Amino acid sequence: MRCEEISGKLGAYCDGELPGGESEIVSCHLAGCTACAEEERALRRLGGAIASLRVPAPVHLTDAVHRAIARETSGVRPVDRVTATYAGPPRPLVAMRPWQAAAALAGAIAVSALATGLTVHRWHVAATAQSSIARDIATAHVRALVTDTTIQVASADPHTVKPWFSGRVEFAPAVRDLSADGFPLAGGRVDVVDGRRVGVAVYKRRLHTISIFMWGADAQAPGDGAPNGMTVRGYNMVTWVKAGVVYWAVSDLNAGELTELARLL
Amino acid sequence: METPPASVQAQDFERLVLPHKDAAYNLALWLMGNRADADDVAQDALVRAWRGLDGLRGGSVRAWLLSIVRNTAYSHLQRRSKGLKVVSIDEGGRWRDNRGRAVEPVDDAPSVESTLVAADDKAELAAALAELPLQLREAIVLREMEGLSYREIAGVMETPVGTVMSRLSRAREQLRQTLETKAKERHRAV
Repeated sequence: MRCEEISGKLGAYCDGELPGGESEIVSCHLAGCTACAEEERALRRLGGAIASLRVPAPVHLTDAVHRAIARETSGVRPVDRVTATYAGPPRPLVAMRPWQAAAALAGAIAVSALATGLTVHRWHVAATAQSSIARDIATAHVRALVTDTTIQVASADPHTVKPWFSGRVEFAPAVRDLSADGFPLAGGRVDVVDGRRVGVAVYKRRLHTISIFMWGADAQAPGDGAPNGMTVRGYNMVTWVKAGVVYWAVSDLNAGELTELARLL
Repeated sequence: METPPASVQAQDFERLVLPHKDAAYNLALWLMGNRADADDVAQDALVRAWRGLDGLRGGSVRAWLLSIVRNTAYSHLQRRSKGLKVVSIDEGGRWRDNRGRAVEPVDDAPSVESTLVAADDKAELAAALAELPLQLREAIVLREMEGLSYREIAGVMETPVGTVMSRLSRAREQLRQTLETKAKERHRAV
């Protein structure tokens, strides 16, 4: 066989995918042809170099998957029935005391922030006041997730959730049915941010939970404006003001989709 | 088809599927190009694998899982291509869309090659690999990083074995050319 023919088979030869007879022919040729033998070595070097670029999964992946599955097996209340229906993870979140869960989650967040390294967003909130509110909101969101209290009124219907807020907060929050856009409404709750009572609407995106914090805009609040994004402790946040209401969206959802939700509201 | 009892399903998942999470993540990373999206895709795919565990019949679990990862990645990529295009950055460093509204770029995360902190030649190869067309990239990743056979790759990519072979050889050819060009450039610079 001539060198051109051999060279066309070298890839499959190195991959161990040539049928026995052909493989032997190539071997014989390589033993006597320095050029083709060098070509073979180059291919194997390339293969080894590519293999060395393999990136292992970040440590938080297994936990994230376990949590997602636990949420799925138990329907509305995520962690309660984990042990009954999903025996997989050796130490499910529900078996922990709340502070342990909080510590574990904080650890997971830290690890995820580390693992993502430079992923953490490159622009920061300018105003200190705003950034302290952002931290407060991220904390409130995590607290609700950890203690499984994201929802006080569970409903996919805005006509149930919206009236529930009246009498609990002093403004009319925007609550919409966005299921057609892939953001089904899960419900609402009342939370405290920066010392004031705020309304929180909870939406879902695939397996992600999104909290939309809302309160009446005061004199210092900027007028209606475009959504502004930032990242706080690994959580993506988007804030905007519309019709006298301040909105803060927070989630582990990617910022692009979070911004999409902000625009829909 | 009956769903297996949850506990059996859970045990099977832990025993059969989860050991391949590195393969799932690695493929997701090289298909999506950044860690944030790879996280989402790998997690989605593993949950889908858990749901579809009763569809697993013989064969390689790794190849089966990787085909789920690939499908998941493709639907994410499709969604991303329909997403917002970022056209400018304002003086405050905020990204603006073509209507001047602030957005965050969808692929804001650092590219896969920049997350590999390594020797120059390794970084160059990573960059060359990241630049390969999607179909060549997935073929070479499945072969060289995951060690799949041609038949398994054909199964994952839903193409004939002959196509796998030609994609692999084009991928290798292109990688070597890119690396050679870069080496020459470096030589000239010195």
